[in-house]
Amino acid sequence: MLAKRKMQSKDLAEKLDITPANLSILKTGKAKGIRFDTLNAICKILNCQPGDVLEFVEE
Amino acid sequence: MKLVRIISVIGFYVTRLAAFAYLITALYVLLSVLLKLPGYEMPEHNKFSINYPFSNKHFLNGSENTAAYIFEMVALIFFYGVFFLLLGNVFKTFEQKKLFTSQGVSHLKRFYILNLFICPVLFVILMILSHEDISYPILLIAHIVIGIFSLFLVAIFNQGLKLQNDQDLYI
Repeated sequence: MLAKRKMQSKDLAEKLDITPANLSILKTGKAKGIRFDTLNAICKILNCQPGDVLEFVEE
Repeated sequence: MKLVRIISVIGFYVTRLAAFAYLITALYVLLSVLLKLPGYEMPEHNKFSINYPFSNKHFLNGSENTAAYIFEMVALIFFYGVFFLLLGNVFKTFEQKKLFTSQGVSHLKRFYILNLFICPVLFVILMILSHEDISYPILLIAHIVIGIFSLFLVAIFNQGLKLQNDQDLYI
């Protein structure tokens, strides 16, 4: 999604007001959960739907 | 939380001061006796006094000039020096904005180990050796109660730290 929008992780982190380290945790799937506020902000900034940034992976 | 922080800051400085005073005193007594410094006097038979440094004013008086008595004196002063030092660290834990930290848990662990394990061993030895009128059983009970509460605090802090680490992974 970031590539589609031609945006860098650093810029997204800045716009979301989270640290690049936390964005990395989100991207690598290491996060235990995502707040609705954060998801809302991501969708707004990337102009997408939650389904575009979330993926179900069977463990 | 503001009141806790204020009390913790005051407690930290008071206990640090007490710890410093007790540890310096223990070291001074030990050095005075071992090196027979000028401040170490034996004014009467089987009694001794330790003067303030560079003065003739008595600082500590001992009623028996025996190794056991001096050991009791140094051990007790040193123990309370360490006690105040570790208590200061506990205060420092409650001073922080982030309460649940691994450093805080280790401070509390050291404090409960001192009160719950080291103190009983030391006080039982001192009870056997002592000829002084110090109520060790009462002191011992007080330390054990402090130790038990600290142990419970360690359990709470461990749980808090785990929950906080989990919470930090909610972004």
